Amino acid sequence: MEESSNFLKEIEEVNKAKAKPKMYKESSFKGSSKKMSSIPEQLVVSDSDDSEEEKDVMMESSDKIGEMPMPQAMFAQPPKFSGRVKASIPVPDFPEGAKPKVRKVGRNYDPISWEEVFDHREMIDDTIPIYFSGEDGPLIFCIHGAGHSALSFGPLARECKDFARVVSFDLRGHGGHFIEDENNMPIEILLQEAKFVLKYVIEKFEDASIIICGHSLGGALAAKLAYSIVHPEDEEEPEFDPKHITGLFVIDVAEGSAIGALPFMEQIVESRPSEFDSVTDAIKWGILSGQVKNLPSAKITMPDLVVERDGKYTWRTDLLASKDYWKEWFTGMNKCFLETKVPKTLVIASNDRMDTELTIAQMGGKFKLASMLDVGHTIQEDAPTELAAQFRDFINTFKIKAKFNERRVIIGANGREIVIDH
Amino acid sequence: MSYLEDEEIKILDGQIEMLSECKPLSESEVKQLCEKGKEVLQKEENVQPVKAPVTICGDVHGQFHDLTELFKIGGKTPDTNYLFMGDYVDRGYYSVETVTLLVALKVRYKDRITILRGNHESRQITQVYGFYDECQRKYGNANVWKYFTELFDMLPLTAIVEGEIFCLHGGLSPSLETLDQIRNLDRIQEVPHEGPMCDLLWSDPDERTGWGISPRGAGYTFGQDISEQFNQANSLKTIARAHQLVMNGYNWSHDQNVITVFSAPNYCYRCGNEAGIMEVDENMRKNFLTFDPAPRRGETHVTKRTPDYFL
Repeated sequence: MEESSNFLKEIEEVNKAKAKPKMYKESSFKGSSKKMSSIPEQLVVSDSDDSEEEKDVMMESSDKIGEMPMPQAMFAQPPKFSGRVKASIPVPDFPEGAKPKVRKVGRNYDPISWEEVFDHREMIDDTIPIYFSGEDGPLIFCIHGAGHSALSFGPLARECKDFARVVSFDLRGHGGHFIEDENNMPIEILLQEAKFVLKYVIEKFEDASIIICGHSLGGALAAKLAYSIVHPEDEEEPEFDPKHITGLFVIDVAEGSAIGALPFMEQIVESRPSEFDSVTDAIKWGILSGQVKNLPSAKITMPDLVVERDGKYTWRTDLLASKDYWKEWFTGMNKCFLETKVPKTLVIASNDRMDTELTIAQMGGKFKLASMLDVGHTIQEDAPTELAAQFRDFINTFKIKAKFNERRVIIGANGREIVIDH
Repeated sequence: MSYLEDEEIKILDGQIEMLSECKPLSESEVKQLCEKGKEVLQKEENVQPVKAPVTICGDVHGQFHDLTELFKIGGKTPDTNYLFMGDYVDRGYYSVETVTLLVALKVRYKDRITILRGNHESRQITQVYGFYDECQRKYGNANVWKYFTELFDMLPLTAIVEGEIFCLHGGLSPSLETLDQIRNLDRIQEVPHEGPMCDLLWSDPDERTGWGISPRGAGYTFGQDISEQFNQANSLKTIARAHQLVMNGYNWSHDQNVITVFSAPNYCYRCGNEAGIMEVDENMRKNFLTFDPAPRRGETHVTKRTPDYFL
């Protein structure tokens, strides 16, 4: 009894903390445009002498937001961030030797190398970087979202080391994958590319049991890739043994809600700062803007998202250049997700990510849904520990073995062994 | 009805009247009601015997106005006997009013209404899918949630109508071959993550034969061979269950060995499905009634958060 009441208390504490912001969210929805416009204002990081001017700009744009119909009005503008941190207090002259030492304390935003999270890296055809971690267990084959990179799964890889291998690669035009025609990103080409990398992995680990995992665009790709392997067009001579695929794990994407969100993406992409003075500044922006909600993760993932050009750091990937393909990335992903006959999980950052088709399917018991608390869209970076727990659970629940052709057995009534084939 | 004092009946009738208008009870009233409810429920069996005629209903999920519609269509308690197969809370906006009304009816007319446990009658699930938040929002604290989840631990797992129709929320378990094995379970606890009690609340019938691991991540899928075997071994005619959304409100499977009943129309206010209930008359004849969502007035709609970066 004691134990259970403690458990309840703990739940209460945790939930008390999250109950308040929820109330606020609701009142701000019903409330006037005044309340709305105060949101971007709070987020302004003003540090320089032109802060007045910057504030005016923000107010103007937020006024506009107030007039807009729902749901655009819910937009919280990402903060403007100049990347410069200036001391505004004039420093007095000190006699030689008496100058006080200034030391920056508290959190730092210094990058962390991929070597801290992955075991090693290879280059496929001298072009595609692919990262590996873990020595045993099922293999989690990760596909990142647009504008991210293979390292997006670095923090997760570290958390999964003792029960699974994690493999992650850079899609074209992302991270360390440089090719000539980087912005040519139709879904068919991306799918071919993912299949090509998967082939490389299967040749390397011949009896691997593979869980295909993807986030956002990568999630759509994961669903389409898994479907094409488990249900090959040429059933007589499939490219791979479909049995290699033992699971499908999609992170925070559903066809209906993704396509519904596309009209807003351009504005969101454009509202990011175009350059940073340093990698450290990029990491800092990642955290302060809420893009990544976990500092150790941001230190690993953000450095791969920028490249140095003329002493400044700009975005590695020109997202807007692939705009024409956004819709086709997601179109048809629900069907592939639902019809791929392997155990599958959809992990979402909030219940409203679900679209109608997936809601019906979930309620029909077609897949496992996991809704995470207090995370943003990039769940694998925001909550790698919790997501690793989801993977562990997924592997245990569906009895996914390290080798794809191992027998799965459950114990029935009276200790009888029952072999399971689906 | 001798177990209730006249005064108690008067209070309960007043509460039922209030609840029928979708007005929640006070925290202290809920506390008292749950105390009484627990007393009644813990005396019931894991396989609770039920007499015909009875109307069997599936998931309700906090869709209070549709429950009102259901009573309009199926008849009022105690004029009609009811058997609800779980999932009273979560997803809909009125889980509190829905579950309070059903418990109040149970306490008032304990032999006229049977309420089983669904997989959503659990501490863990209600924290993710809405009931916990709704209690917080409506009462400002989690006490009401605590009272109800304690009561959920007492709910019977299954029922059997006249020895013929076996009713439960989810489905069969590879660890349970007979009703006696179900009777021997210790049910007074939170729904476990695995094992026979979990399976009864989570499993689904499947087109494939034999046992499979449920895609839901809890429970199993069972084929027609399993259903036939179970019905035969326990001299049953039908397994009636809920748990899965079926677009017509009811759905036969496994060559009439299994019937699925789902009673939340337009589930989540957007799935576009009909709701169904199954009337079983005194001659054990089955009759299905289906219905659309009740018209709603001035209902608050849940805000859709605008997406953040989403590519």
